[in-house]
Amino acid sequence: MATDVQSADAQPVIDEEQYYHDAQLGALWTASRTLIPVVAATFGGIYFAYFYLRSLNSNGLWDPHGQTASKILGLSILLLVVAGTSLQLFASRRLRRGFSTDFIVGTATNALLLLIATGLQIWELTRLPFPPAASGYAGVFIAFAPINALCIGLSAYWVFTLMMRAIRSYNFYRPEGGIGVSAHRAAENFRANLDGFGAYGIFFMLLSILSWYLFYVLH
Amino acid sequence: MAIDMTPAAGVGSPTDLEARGLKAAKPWFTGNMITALIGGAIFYAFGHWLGNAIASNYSVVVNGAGNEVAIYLSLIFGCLGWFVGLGALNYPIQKLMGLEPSEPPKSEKRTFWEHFTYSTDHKVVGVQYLFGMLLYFLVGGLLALGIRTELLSPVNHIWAPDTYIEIVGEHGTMMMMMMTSVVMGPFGNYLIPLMIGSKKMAFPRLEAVSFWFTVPSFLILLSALWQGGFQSGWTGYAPLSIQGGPGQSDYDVAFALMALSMICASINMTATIINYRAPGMRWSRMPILSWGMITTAFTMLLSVPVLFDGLYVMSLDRGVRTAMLYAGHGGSSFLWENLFWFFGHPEVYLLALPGFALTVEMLPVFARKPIFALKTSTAGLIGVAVLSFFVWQHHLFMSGMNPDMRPLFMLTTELISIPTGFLYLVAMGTVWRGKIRFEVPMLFLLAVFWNFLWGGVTGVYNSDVPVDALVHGSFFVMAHFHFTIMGQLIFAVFAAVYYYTPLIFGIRLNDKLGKISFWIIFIAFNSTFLPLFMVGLLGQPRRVFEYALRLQHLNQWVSVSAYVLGFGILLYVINLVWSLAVTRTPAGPNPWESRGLEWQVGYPVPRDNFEKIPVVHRDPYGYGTGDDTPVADLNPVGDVAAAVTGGEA
Repeated sequence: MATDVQSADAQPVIDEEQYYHDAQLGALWTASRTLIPVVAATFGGIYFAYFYLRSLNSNGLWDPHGQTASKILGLSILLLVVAGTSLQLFASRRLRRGFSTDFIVGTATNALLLLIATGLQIWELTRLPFPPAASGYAGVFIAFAPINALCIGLSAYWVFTLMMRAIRSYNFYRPEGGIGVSAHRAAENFRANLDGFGAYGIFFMLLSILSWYLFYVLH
Repeated sequence: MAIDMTPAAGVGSPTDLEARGLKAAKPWFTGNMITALIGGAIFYAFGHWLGNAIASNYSVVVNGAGNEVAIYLSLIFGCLGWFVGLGALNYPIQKLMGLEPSEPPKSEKRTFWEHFTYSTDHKVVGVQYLFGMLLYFLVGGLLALGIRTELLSPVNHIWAPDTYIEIVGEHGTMMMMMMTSVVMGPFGNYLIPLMIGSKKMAFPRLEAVSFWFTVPSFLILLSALWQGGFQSGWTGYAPLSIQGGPGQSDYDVAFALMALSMICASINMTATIINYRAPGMRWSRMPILSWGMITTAFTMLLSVPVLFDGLYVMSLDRGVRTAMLYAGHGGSSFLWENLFWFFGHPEVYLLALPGFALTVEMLPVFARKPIFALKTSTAGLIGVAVLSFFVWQHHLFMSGMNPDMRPLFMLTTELISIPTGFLYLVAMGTVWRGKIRFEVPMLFLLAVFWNFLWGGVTGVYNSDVPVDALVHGSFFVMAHFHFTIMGQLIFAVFAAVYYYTPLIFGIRLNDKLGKISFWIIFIAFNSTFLPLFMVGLLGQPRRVFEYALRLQHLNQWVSVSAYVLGFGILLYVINLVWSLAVTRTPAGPNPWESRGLEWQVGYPVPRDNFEKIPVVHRDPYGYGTGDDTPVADLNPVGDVAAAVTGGEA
């Protein structure tokens, strides 16, 4: 943790604003990385239910007819999440090179893709080829889908707030080369937030691939 | 500049309204309990309507005259409305408009009214939690007296059998669910920034939200009582739980809200302790309560989401008729047991760890000795936290788990007694040859030793499969966990309330009343729960309101003791309220002569805790060493700060 300590005869001794700014950046790092195990544990519980019921196969009713939710929709949701996150990572790189407009366009596209994925996940729930109590698989899928939609929707919220901050502050940071390179504290705070989303986004993308494999391929 | 870079924070600023001559309008525009209740009521009604609109044509609703979808949606929307009314959603909505994050407002002077608002001041949140938890605990305690009243006689009944089981379930859930935050809520939130030398929390809004989740959680859980309760008890075992009435839905939603509260509080606590420590506050110098909070937070973060999953699975089975907990359609009731206990057993340590941390934090002050083997106690806290994730299956010893797995979980459960033993021995070593001051908090702390000895030793027996086969589901187990949780955690909390009242309120509680209440509580507690070991060994099962006639005398003894225990606790509360509201005897600065950083700021604790960022030189436990140099420099000069911050941090 950086502490900007000035010389012995200068006051204040510790630059408090810088100290708490550094602490805030650290807190953003900690919180975003802490979010990963929390979400992992949430999905982990669903995966546990999946494997528990699958291995138990009570009365041969785990998945008696081999029916899954729409595979086309499932793949579409996955592709939207992967494409959106990849685009976001690329946009973040562009931002750090000073191309704020690229970032805004990339992030807006990501937010849109994630919103579409959320909508598709909810729509998929309304078009299931099985009733909720049909099988163990049916139950676990119905548990998985809303949680997945919620997480994708919240990711969309997160990137949307980042995009709006970038738009709002566009002119303010332009003389300094944009929010991606500015040394302003608010810009550093923004980038810490963006980094947090980057780490979380990669994690969630991998999680989405695993979920897709479990619910649409392995089942 | 094209934009305003200093937007308002999440809640409306009361000072703005006052400046505009709209002081009377303040309660309606700043978010508080009244607006929250109004918002909750409106959204509740909307949720109920929506649920009926969606699900009224479900065959199960048509045939069963019950619509759990409407109940779930009304509770969920009601909670959403609660937060809208509270003003908690203003900030997330402002973020949608791209406004920069800003410091949440802090009032210059704390007011009574502020405690009913969505305050982001960690000291206000700490006090909110303190009185909230006290209320929840007292309600849970009253329910316990309802249980003991019924058990006065095996043949003459006060309650109907289903009412009795409702009361048992409500008591268990109120205590096990709400009390998870009894240390982190009040003491963690109030004290941690002070202890680590910080002027603020990392995420004050998360902190505030964590408290305001507990209120609807409590109200919803309490409302289960007049909706038929939940017959499955606090453990919510399926298939009974998926067949229950609306009270079971209340259990689901209330517990889930508490789960969200724990996650919010833990993220904030973890980020604060890791990032907001003052210069020189190395990990090795960190107060043991901070260690207790961070280990508890990590345990919560990994276990609570799984509880949330379990509750979610149960609510889907009940609401939309999936069959994950019903074997007849491809599910399994054991799925619930696994999901629940994966949280449920770490939860026991979520209760125990902060209790230990509080105990070890306060002991050296009254023993006038440094903590014996400070690093060992830290290792104990971490060891318990880690091992707590590997023991949950011991709750399934008797309910159908693979017998080959029993020895493994017997071993892991027994192993956890080792780090627990670290903590116990550290505490004993701290007291050994100390110059003990038998103040009221110290009496409660010494009682923790005695109580936990009973709870801990019987816990080792419970972990053994042969003994567990004998005592499972009996009053023996019930006595065991009351000794470990009430005897340890609640006694430590009683000590802490007494100990920290001078810091938080500037008031010293009445010592005479304190000592009287302690002895009543201590003797009555043991008189209540020690005989229950015998009752359990003699074969009385839990959750059954009729029992063998030969056990009546023991049960009557226990019930009368429970009344006395209730009286003792009431006396303690009267002492607290009377001292705070009526006598208001000033405590003076640092009445216990603690070396802790939190005590060095004086009373009232300044708005920003510290005038300057302090520089910490040593751990706060150097009692009786002859070294009276301060723990931290509260007004550091350049060379001191440079030496510390430039060195190892």
